Amino acid sequence: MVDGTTIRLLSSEIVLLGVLAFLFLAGTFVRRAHGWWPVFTALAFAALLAIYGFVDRRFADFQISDSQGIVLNGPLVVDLFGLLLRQFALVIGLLLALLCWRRHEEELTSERMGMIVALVIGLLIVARANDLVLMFVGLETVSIPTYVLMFLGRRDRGSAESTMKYFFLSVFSSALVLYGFSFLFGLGGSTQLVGAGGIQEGVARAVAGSPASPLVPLALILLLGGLGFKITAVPFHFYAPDVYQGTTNSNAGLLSVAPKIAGFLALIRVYVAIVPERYDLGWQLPLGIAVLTMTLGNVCALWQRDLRRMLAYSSIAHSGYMLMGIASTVAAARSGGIAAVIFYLIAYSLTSLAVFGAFAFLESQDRPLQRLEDLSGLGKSNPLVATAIAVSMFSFAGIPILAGFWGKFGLFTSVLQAAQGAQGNASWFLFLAIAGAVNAAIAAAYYLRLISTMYFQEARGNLPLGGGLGPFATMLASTILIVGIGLFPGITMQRARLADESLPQPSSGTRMRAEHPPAQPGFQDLSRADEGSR
Amino acid sequence: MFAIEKLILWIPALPLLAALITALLGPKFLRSTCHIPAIIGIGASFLFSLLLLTEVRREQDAAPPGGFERIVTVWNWANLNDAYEHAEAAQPPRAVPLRIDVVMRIDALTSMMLCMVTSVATLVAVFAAGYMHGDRGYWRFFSYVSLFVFSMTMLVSVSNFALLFVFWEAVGVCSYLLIGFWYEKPEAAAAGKKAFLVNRVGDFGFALALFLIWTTYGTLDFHDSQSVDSIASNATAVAADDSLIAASVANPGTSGVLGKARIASGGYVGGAVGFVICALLLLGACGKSAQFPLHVWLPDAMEGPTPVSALIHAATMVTAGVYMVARCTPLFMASPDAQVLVSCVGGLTALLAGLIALTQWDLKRVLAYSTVSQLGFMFLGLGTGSLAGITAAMFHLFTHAFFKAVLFLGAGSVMHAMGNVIDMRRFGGLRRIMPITYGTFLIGSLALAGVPPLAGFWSKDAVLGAVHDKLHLYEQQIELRHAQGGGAADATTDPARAGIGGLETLTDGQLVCGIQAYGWLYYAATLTAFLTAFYTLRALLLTFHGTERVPHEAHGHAHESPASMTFPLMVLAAAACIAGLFFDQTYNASLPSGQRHSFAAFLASAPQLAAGAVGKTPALDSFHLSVAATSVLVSLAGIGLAMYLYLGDTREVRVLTSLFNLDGVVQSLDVRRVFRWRWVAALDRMARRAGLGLVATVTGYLLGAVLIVVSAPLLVAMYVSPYRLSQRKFYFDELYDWGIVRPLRGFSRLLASADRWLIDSLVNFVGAVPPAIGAVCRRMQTGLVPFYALAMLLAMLLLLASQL
Repeated sequence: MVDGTTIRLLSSEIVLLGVLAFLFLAGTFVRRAHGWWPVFTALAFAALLAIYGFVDRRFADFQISDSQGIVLNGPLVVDLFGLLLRQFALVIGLLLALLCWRRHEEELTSERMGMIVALVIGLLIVARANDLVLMFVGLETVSIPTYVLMFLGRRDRGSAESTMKYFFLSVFSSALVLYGFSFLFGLGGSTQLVGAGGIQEGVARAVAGSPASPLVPLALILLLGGLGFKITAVPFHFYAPDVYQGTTNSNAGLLSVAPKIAGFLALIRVYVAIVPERYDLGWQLPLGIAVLTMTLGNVCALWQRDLRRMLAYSSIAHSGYMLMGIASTVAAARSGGIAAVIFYLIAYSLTSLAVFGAFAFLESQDRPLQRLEDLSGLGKSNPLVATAIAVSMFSFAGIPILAGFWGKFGLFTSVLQAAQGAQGNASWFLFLAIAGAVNAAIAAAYYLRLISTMYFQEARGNLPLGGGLGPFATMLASTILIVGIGLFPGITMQRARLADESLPQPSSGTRMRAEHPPAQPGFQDLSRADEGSR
Repeated sequence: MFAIEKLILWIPALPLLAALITALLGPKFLRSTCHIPAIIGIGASFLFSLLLLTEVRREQDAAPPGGFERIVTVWNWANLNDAYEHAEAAQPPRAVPLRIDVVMRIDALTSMMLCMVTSVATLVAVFAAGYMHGDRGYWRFFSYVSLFVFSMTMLVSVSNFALLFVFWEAVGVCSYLLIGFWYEKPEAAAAGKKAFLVNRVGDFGFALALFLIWTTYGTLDFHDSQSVDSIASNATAVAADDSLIAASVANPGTSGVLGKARIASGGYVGGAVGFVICALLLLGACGKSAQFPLHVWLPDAMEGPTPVSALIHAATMVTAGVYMVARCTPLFMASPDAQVLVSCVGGLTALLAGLIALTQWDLKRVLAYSTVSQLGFMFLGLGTGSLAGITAAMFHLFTHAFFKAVLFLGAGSVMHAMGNVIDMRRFGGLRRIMPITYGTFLIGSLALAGVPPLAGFWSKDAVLGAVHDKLHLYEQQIELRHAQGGGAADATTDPARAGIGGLETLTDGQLVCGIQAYGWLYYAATLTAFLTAFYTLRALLLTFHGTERVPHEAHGHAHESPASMTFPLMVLAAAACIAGLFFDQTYNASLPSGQRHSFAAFLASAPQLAAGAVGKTPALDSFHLSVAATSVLVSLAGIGLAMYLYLGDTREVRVLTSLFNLDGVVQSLDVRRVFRWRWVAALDRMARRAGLGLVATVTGYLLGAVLIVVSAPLLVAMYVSPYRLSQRKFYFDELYDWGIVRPLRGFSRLLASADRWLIDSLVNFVGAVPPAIGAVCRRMQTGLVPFYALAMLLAMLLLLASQL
């Protein structure tokens, strides 16, 4: 039911909608001082982040709380998972606004910023949706601004081609998601995901019945297919290399972050929530896709000399790693897989933004940064940017004391936990862990190649450094965050763990978590976690 | 009054800040004023340490009987609480949450070490401002030194084995950087490498010890996670013990390895595991503190700048091993065998290094071997495992820091004046040129030699007295047992406390072995005291007495060093004079028993020393007149011998040298001397005339062969004559070179070729696989949207088909 509480819970979205409206309206009239729009947007995100951190949490989220620490309010679910990911979405919005602040293309800046605001609204909704319809609306609110942003990028043939490719395939994937949703609706008789009379129960019923309903695998496969597109899982990844290569660096940064966060959020909110525990297909699907995805991503990346194409394959591979966490969670709910996925998602997104921010800073309108060789000699000509890129690459490769290392560490730990937890299927998860380790080794090759290009090859002419302040700030902030999270992983880990525990329990005959009730992750716990981490 | 929790953070933070400032601004802006941030940072840190010391003194009086400690959690570095907690298996693995906090601790041991480190560091920084003046790496030097002080202060104040290991390595890195400070000099670079590599051996042992502690005790924290003070204060005195045992049994994760709860309950593992833990910890300590058999790096480390030798390789870093063993006292208490081992290593090293120091010509090397020897003394004291012995060892550490620093800085002052010449054969009689250096060096030497009432006498005497006491304790015990007629078999009644209690738990065999060991060690230590007095005075007399000689490198203007160098010398010399008498008044029977040795009384409030088995042993409280008289006599004998030999005519030295070099053996076995050729020729001629030419020739050859066979061992003995053994450092370097380095190098060559031919081709083959797969996969990247959509659809259909 929708009441005053719902409105209050949606206050962040409403405020951002106001910002969006202001940007569109005022942008029409103010045709100068374009540089102020990104600053304004970034400030709006920052302010909201501050408010969200201190006010919203207190008044909206945890005023109402039941014994589970989860609140269902109509189509919304309020838990620590949502809180953490919504805060992170605002951080991403802030960084994206800065990333897309392009000095050499200043007309339409307000529109671009508006689209980023719209995209963040979508992310906020996805992080909190407990309803198929709202979830779909959230996903589309992420997708549609992305099309516009890609179109607002460079206006050449390559860019147009990649935009069209992305558009058609994205629409196709949305259709798949919707198709899957409709089967879920059929199974549950409701659009609500978790809760009394929700889809979670319906699916559990259908699986438990004999004969088991054939609709469950159908729905799950369609769901994974549609969301697999967003997270560039194999074999739904084909668009990524072409699109990344065709579009601009800042757009590639956006593409590597926003749809991926949305896709993983939706996977956790829908897929993980509804798959009953001990339902084998539930973990077999993500496990198989994970192995395929990371292997294909890494081996193809080895061949690439085009920077964005290489990073596209690299982002495919990272999705594969994260799917490992999904698979282990579905197989054994206590494996800590979701916590690992959250941590990895944060680490990956920040690293990605740092790299693309650096690339966007290095290029200019007439001389885009395209080839690996363009970076040669950067270590001498611009040590700061080279350091940022090197740090990001090390983090991608999972070198210790950077954020990426702790991310991989958590994922592998969760897989090994699942190997212990999933009786009889341990060998599958051991295989997954080995595949992941081999892939991490392969991946190091092309990350280190990039670093060696920067530091050990002679420069071929200077790079223009035409990106301006925005991308530079994105790069700097993200790099500092990567190093910071790497040095103090405890804070983020603790929050991710609490978020994981706050998620709705999987439905299953055995109710694994019922044996020991989870540490009620309410407001109290979070504040205590803060103290403990200091 | 002052928040000590804040102070403990500022003490390491200020040197770190100084290091950063010097490193960032040094090369461009500060240039020749780089010493200012370092001196201010380290000096302020010293003042804070003093404040901390007074606060600890004030607060420890009100502390519960388990000793005073304060734990400050700075941040939670990594928390894998759930590592295996949630694993769902039939047999859940042991829940050992890995939680690494950056935790500092405040107690008597820490505050005393902090004071010692920062005070010496401040003075050395002031000295170095003069000594290093004009060096190209001026900023680098002060940056490294500040970084070292940061690492060292952290090392002594962290409360977790993992962090201890981190800073253990950090001081090792700083030491490496500073030994190789003049890296253009090949010897300096090699010495840095040697120090680092030899330390790796020790660190390997230390790391293994940590793993073993982790698997045995399930935590790496020193402290208990929960405050035990509240439990202890609420319970009555009798019940406290039991409740603490119960608490530690019920909650193994919450009581730290060296925490009060575990010490009170005696929850330590003895036997083989306990011994191995201690032996591995000792190996780590041997590496850092340059004890036999890992002592070889320290003398070479003298290639670094002299202030570094004074600070790192005499006063502070090399004592980290002593600190660590003292900190781990409860672990060592659980294993009496390990204690004997510690003492034996210490005593052997002390004697060995003392013998080597007798014949060295390099002034700094004499001091380096003397450092090794004195560190051996400290380990000897630690190994007694009694409160008296451990506090005596720490007291010796404390006083040694001052008088050894003054000696090293004095040597630096001499080097400064002599144009970096340090060979004692090339200069002499400097006492008129450098009066202040001479005076302070004299005080330092006498303190090292153990002349009362200077610092070295008191602390060395305390160590000797503790060994003596231990010996007597064992003898009494065994007599008691003989009197009772029973064995020790029934003594180990309480298995829960086996190995942690007092003497009752020892077997007869252990007692006899201990008596043998401590007896020999006492004599070895007394001999070492004699050697110490001799070689110290030898160095002093060779350098400052005799005819005035100055090497040409000094360019004719050898002079006393500037005030920035002589001022620290004087301060340190003053400390070396008074420190002993100030703290140790055990001779003064009029004082109440707790105050006679204020240093030991202060130190004994650290939880690791206050409670448990060690707390029940006798404290340093009485003066051993016989021991003191012996040690004064031997040191005076050493001084007297040195003065007799090296003052005035040095003819006796030559005689003694040739005697110990077995020169007589060579002379008596020289073939040309034994058989005068004239006689041989005459005999030969006579034989030929008699027609026995062949017989004479054969007899001659036979006689020659017999002579060679007989004299060969003696000729070999000549090469290992006592003098040569000492001069060549008992051939340890050669032994390690031929025994370890060269075989390893050969083995590595073999492996390298195997790697090149076998592994590389395999790897290349494997490495070719991923690109090959990629080459196939990227063919699918057609760029056509319909194909992509079709592929997605087909993939899903395939998945569906598999489910039907």
